[in-house]
Amino acid sequence: MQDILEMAFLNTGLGAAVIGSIACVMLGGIGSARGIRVAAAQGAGVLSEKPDLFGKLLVLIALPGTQGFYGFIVAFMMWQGIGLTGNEVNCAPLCGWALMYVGICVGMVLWWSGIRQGEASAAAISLTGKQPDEGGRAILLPALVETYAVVALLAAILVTQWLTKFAYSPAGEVLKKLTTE
Amino acid sequence: MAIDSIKKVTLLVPRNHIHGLVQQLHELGAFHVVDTATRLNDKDNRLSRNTIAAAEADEKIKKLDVIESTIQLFTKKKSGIVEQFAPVPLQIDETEVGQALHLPIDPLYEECERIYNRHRDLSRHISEAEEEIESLSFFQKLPLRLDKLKHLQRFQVQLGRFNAIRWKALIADPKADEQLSWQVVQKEGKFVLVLIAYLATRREEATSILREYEYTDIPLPRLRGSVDDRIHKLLEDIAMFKEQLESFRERAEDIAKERRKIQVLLGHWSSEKSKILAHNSCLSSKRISVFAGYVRTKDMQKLESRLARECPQVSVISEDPVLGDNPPVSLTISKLLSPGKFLVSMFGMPNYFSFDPSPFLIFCFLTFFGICFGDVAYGLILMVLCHRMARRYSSHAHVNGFFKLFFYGGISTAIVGALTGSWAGNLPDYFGEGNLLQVLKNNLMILDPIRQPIIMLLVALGVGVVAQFYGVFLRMYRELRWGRPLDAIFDGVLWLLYLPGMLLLISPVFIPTVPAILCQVGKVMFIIGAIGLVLTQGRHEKGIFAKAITGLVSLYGIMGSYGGVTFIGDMVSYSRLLALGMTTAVVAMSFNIFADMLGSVPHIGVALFALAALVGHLFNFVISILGAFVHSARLVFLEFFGRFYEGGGEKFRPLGFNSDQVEIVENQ
Repeated sequence: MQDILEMAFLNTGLGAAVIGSIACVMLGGIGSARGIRVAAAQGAGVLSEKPDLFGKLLVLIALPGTQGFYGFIVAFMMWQGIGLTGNEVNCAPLCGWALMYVGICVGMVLWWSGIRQGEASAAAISLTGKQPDEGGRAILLPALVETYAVVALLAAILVTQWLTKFAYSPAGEVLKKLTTE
Repeated sequence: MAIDSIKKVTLLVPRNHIHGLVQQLHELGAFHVVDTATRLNDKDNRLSRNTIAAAEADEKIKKLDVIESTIQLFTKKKSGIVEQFAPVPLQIDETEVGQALHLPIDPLYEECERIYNRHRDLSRHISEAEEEIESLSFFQKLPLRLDKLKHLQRFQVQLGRFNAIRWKALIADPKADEQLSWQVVQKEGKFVLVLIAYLATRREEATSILREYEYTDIPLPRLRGSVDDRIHKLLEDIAMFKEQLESFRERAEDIAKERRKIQVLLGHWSSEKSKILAHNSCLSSKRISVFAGYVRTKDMQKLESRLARECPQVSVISEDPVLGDNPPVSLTISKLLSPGKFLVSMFGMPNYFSFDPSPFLIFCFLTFFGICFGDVAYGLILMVLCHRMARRYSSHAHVNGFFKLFFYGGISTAIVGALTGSWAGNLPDYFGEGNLLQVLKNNLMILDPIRQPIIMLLVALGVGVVAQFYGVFLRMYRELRWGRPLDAIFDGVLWLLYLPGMLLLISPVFIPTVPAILCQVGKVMFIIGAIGLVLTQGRHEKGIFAKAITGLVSLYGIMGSYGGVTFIGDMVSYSRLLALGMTTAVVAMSFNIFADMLGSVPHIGVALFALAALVGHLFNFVISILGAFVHSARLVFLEFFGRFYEGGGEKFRPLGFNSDQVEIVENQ
């Protein structure tokens, strides 16, 4: 057991990178689930009075689901970067710990923005219930919250690329020295 | 495939002929009524409304609603899964309306109201009785005779609960021993149920001690007899109430035989009410009434000839609508592209002065749906199912469009499934090496998302980029239709220089093998686009400073017609196509693995394999199709429509028998 832990966390960064990637998936998924729950509860209330709005509300309810996908994409980029998808794992300890940090921090943004986007969706659902013709514009309200999830996703993708693919990174040489096994 | 041309029509009619006019317009079914006051500028208030009360229609609708609710209460109407997503109106012919009008509503209404109210009361009584039984059942289990406790006068007896630790402390307290007597009734985990007695004259001291030891009182029920007697009586009452409800059910089932007529009448009286509302929308002077509305250009001749024949006193004034009128929108589209109309109706009608996006969005939606759901087997199943359902509901345009959309989705799903090697996951691999399906699968596959996920991600993002640029092209098309070529250049061409230029500039970060010449070209496009946007995006602002700031900020995306960061955000949003597509494939593969494990069972392995695979893939089909539809629709409504769509249009609803629940068809 000790050998495995040493291999995973001290000799390589594999363990830390995997923890970070799963944390990102987990937090993004939790945020989306909670956000959708909030939006769905509001949607159920509006639909009980106006069932013909189902089509418009379905998209609004699904909007907070984006963060779950983004968490998966970040995790996937990490697995790909450290070679896990190609069965050739190459991840220095420092790189792995850095990826863990990225995964947790980005995961927290996805979690928080997912819940808040759900609340914004609920407000947009309420607006659509009162003014069905404004349904198209109402969709824009929760989309504004998603901007920050996108920014977090982009930051994660870029940092992951720079940490794992030295050729792309402006600080390639420095990173190589710091993170190579 | 377009927004139907509309004419703004004003009708002038002698005041005493208004009823006849409304009747003719109702029968024609081509005139969308608007409030005349929104069209006429009657500053001097020379015109007034000649309203008639809709009391009779409202009364009938109310009574019919009560009858329908009563029937619904006792005889649940089975609605299929289709009706839950796309309501199917009842189709009738005109003669049914005449027959239904003979149904005596008033006696039915009185009976149903009585049944409905009685049902409500009985349900409440049953509910109260059941609650009381539940609360009494607690006391029924206790070894107590509560009826013996009520005759005590000098003593106060209470039933209550102590925490076990506090109870031990109480019984060790001499003060408690002096003031109280007790009997432990039962122990409930950490708590103890105790019967406490004390002299009525020492109430204060006793209460103080009980409070000190955190006593929780359980109020004793006030009963005449014993708990058992009371529960027995309540059960008898419940049985009697349920018997009465059963008799009501039998009567409701009798009334339910007239359900179709009730629904027809509801449609009829809703239609009558709409006639009254139409009448009330007009404005009148002493002699003339003015009626305002819209008619499709193709129906104008029909309107004019009918009015010339039936209402020759009416004068028809028609003109083309202008910006600011907000005319209603009627969409006509070919049957092949009709599913696009279903999506547009979900989102909201386009502005009349814009264009119908139905034919343009269908290709995008089907591409997204195909990538999300991509599997040959699932696609074929979807095609077969939806083809049958579309034929079954061929006379219901909305429902037919719904199934046609999924039929086309099945085609795109099968195509993407073939290109990505997904045939119920990897099911052909379990039928033996080199089998026909496996050969077909391997020959058609050009990309394996599981083994080449980065390429698949790039494909998804590429689809997003193409969709966004397509949206910008449609924006240019819209501006050209409105006769604004400069806006088409400033809000279209410049973005089509800036954004691809930006992509080419940053591509080496992700794809190091991009040729340098492309980067150079991208750089030039980026600079020209950026300069053009800075100079033009602030053109509607006042002042050179505001124009410049808006131009600069528009490159980012908060202001102006688009933005760099907005574009990147939209593009990244399409990554969900990869996630959903992989999910469908991986879940399918997982069920195949599970089925294979069961398949190794001796003798019945084949049957178990088939059963497990069937159940698993059915489950995957249902959960994946929902996600594929919702997220594809979201990408269309948000990212794609955001580039060019102008909504806010009101649906064209001509005056006529246009109830949502009932529709008149010819030759029923």
